[in-house]
Formats: sequence, C-alpha cells, structure tokens
Amino acid sequence: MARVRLQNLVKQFGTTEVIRDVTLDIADGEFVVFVGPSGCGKSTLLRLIAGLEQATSGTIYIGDDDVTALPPAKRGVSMVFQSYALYPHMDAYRNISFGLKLPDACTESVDQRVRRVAEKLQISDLLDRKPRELSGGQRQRVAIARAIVREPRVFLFDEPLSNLDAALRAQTRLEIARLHDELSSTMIYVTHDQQEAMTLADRIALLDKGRIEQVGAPTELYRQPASRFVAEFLGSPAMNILPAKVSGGDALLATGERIAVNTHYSGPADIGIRPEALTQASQGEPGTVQARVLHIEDLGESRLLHAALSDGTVVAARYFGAAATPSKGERIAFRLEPHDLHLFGEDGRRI
Amino acid sequence: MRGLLKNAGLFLACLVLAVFLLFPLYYAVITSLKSGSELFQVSYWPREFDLTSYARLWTEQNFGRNILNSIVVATSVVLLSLALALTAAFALARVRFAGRGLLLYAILGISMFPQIAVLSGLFELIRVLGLYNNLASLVLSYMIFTLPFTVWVLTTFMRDLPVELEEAALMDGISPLVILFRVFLPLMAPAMAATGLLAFIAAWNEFLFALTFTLVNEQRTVPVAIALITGASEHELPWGSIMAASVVVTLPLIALVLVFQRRMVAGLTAGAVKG
Repeated sequence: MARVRLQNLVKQFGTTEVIRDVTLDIADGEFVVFVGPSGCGKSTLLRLIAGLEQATSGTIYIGDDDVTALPPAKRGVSMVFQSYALYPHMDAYRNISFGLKLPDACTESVDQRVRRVAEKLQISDLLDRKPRELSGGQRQRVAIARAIVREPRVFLFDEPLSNLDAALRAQTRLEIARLHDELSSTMIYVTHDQQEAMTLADRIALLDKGRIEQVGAPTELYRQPASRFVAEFLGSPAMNILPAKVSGGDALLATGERIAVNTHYSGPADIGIRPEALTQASQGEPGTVQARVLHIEDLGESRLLHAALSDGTVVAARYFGAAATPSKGERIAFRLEPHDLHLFGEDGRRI
Repeated sequence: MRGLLKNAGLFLACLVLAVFLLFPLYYAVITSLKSGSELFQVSYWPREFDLTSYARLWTEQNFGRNILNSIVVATSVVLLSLALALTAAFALARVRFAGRGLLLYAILGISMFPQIAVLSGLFELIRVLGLYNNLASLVLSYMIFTLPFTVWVLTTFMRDLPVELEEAALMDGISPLVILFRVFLPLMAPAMAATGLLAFIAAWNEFLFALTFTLVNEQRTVPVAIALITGASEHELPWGSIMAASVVVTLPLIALVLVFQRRMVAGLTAGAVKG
C-alpha cells in the first residue's frame, strides 16, 4: 500500500498536450476517482501512472520511489481494463495465475493464493471456464481477481463498469466499494460516469482539457464547485445557469427580474442553482422568477419539471415526495434562496 | 415455382463449377488406372483397375525420394516462414518505429517480382552459398514468395488483436517473447494454419526454382520429377506414370486441406478476437 504523488506531470502526443501540468497527492489507502468528459485526459493520466505511457515531463512517485522511468511491472501497480483484457485461450485460473511470481519469502503457494482470491470474489467454481463461457459480470470479477492476486501497492481501474448493463453496474459498484474497505489499498479509478464518481470516491479529481479542474470530496465538489465547469458536470440534471448582472447584493437576471445574492461582488456573473434547490413560490412574491411549465418527467421517487423563464431559458426543478406538482403549461414562480446560489465570474471561476 | 427454379439454377451453377474444377483430377485418376494402349484411347469412364503405373513409379525411379524431398522442403519452408513472419508481424503490428509503413510496402513489393526475373541473380547467390543441387537452395528461394504474404496476413491479423491484452501482460511483467508465444501465438493459430497451408501448397507446387537449382533426381521435388519422367524410349510419353504421379502428389494436399479446413476458414474470416 502506498501513497501516489504526481508532480507537474505533462504528456504530449506530438504537439498536442493531453496532460498539462498535473500535480496531485493521493494518500495511502485513498480511493480517488478521475472523472471528466471524454478527451479530458483522465485515461491518459491513469496510463501514465500505470507506466503504459511515458510522461513528457514531471515525476510520478509511488510510495517513496520515483517510478517515472520504470516499466509497468516494476511499479507495483495492477490494472483492471475496460474490456477486461482476459486472455481468451486460458481458463479463469490460468488468467489469474499467468504472470504471477511470488517472492521467495512468501509462504503461500501460487495455487493457494489464486484460490484465496477466487474465494474472495466468489468465482471459485468458475476457475476452469474460459472467458467466452463467462458472463460480463463474471469476466469482470476474473479481471479484478487477476489484479488483486499480485497484491499491488496501487490498483488502477480504467472504466471497469462501462461494459456492464445498468443493474449489474450498480451491483459491481457496490462490490468495488466493499473491496476497497476490505483491502484498504490505494485505488485510482477512471470513469466518465458522475454517479460512479460520487458514490465510490473518497476524493474526486475532475479533469478538463488535461488539467485538474478541482479535487475534493464528492460533496465538496457538489456543494462548492470551484468553477462553472465543475458545477455543470456534476449533478443530473445539470445545474441551472442564469446569466445576470450583480451589484450591491442584488442580481438583475436576463429576464429582467431581481433576486437577492450574498456577495459584495459587482459585475456580470452566471448564477447557478441546483434543480433540487428551486422551490415553488406563490405568484407575485418579491424576489421570485416567473416560469411556464414545459414538460414533467415522473421518476417515481421524484419528479423533474422543465420550465421556461420569460427570456426563454429552460430550467429544471426537482420535486420530491408529496409536493404538489404543477401541470403542463401552468405559470408558476420559483424562489431562489441566496444560500443556494453559486456565482461564477466571467472566467468561469467561483466568486 | 420461383423458388424451385432458383434452386435448380443454383444447383446447375454448382454442378458446372464442380465439373470444371474436378474434371482434370478425375481424368488423371482414370488415366492412371489404365494400361498399355488403352492409355491413348479417350474414354470418360473407368473401365479397368490397373495399378502398374503406380508400381512403376517406385520400381523405375525413386519417386518415394522425390516425395520425401518435397515434404522436407515444403515443411521447412512453412516452419521457417511462420517463425520469421510471426516475429516480424509482432514488430510490424505492435512496435512503433520509423519507416514501418515503408518496410511493409517493401515486403509486399518483393512478392511482385516475377520468378523468372530473379532467377539468374538467385542462381548466382545460391552458387556462392554453395547450395546448388541442395534442398536448402529450394527452402531459401521459396521463402521469397512465402514470406511476403505470411508477414502481411499475420501482421494484419495481429493488428486486430486487442492492445489491452498486451498491456495487461505488460502490467503482469511478462516479457515480449513470452507475450508473443504464450498470449498471441494461441490466438493467431487460425491465421497461422491458413497462411501455413497456403505456403505449403505454394512450396509443394513450385516448379521453376526446383528445376533450376537441382541437378540429379535424388534432389528433385515432385513437380520436377513428374515433368522429367521418361518412358522406355524417347518416343514414348509415359502418360500412365505421369498421371499416377500427379494423383499421388495431389492426395497429401487434399488431406491437409481437409484436416485444416475448419481452422483455415476461421483464419481467413475471423478478424478481432472478442475477449
């Protein structure tokens, strides 16, 4: 088990910079999720740590060792691939044991080790099957077993759940979380799925265009997004963004309505508010925003309401439980509580 | 009614094709079973069953030796080509290096030289190497035409194998050679069977090099041996022996194709390997 430190990491493919000056400290035993839109460099960052790509500049430490120039096998990391990458012609047992070299000091035999790991992942009775005879979820377990069996210092996961169907994905997500509790080893996990990131991570590193946009606990990123990009990336449906002019604790929205804000800033700003923070108010109340209901989606435990403001901007609001939901076409008013608002300046940074 | 017509048409087309393809072999078989003056009468149905032509192959000349030569040459060519092509394909498909595309096209270009154009140069080369009238000269020269296509087929096939497989093995600390032979080789088996078989057939049937680079019957391969079968006098063309020999050398190929048929089809059609 080890901490991982990335220092001023840069990766260029030809002239395109894929990773731009990334510095990150991952504590021993931490579960860090790299998340971001496709092409943000999250997979490349993981591959740099794995040693499958060579950094253009910068340093990677695992434990106290500078591993920047070491080949993958010497780094003490193991990886679970998106496509599982099981050897098709070997049975599960061979897949797990192939390439397993135990140190001389180890009292356990290869066979014992394989069977113990198989036990842990509940694949003991699948060991003589070839990958093609296994279901997607079972293949995933074999791939994880292959990563675990070497008892690496750091586990790397490259979108391990994206080939599974929704139900299996939720289940496997839970198992990965359990596995992390059990092994208490450092894990780095790449995904484009914000739900996976929110549920699994101790800390999320949100990447955009090769840079780390924000690092922090999931709730921190959700509640205190450092930029408009972070605010819009996390949360589904995305945060509502209303352009406004702010001055003297007052914001003039593009719709012409005025609402109160908690800031001394003055100038143009984007005001963000989460769908669940939009509450319905009675018509004509001061500090509210007028809207017309366009569409309602009933999700069972909540209802999503899409409404157009007077300037045409569409916002989403979430209604929970027994709260009365207006009907389609109805004119309603939303209250925007100052403490629910996120303000972003013209550069997209939080104010 | 339309379906019936369609089926009849299909059947007819197949029949024409089969007759076209199989008639030469069929005629060789029935001719080889005739004897004496019967040989010079055209007949399309077997009327006698006479094996003297076959016996004569072994009594009048050492045809067994020729077959053995062919087997030795063709097998060596296949083994050497596959070994070289597999390692070359690994480099060409999986290692990024300058001039890779150029190299691939150069390899393809080599296969486009007409045999006759390289013959005299090759003859000098073989004389310098001291391989004249030696089976090794044939093995060497046959690889000129077997290597380009084995390298190409194996390279394209290896390109289609998922990169993650190699990366997973790299993460496990497995050396490139072990990756090649323990991970890729088993997955390439269909492609190896297909290209190996094609190389075998090409080497088995080759005539020009075999004729030029050998001198005595003991070093000849079957195509040359058959062409040089002589009768009792120079005025007699020993059709019976020639046909018997042709049938004998065709049988191993048919057997090989039947044995490898399923693997071959898999090798020629299968592209990616799904994990």
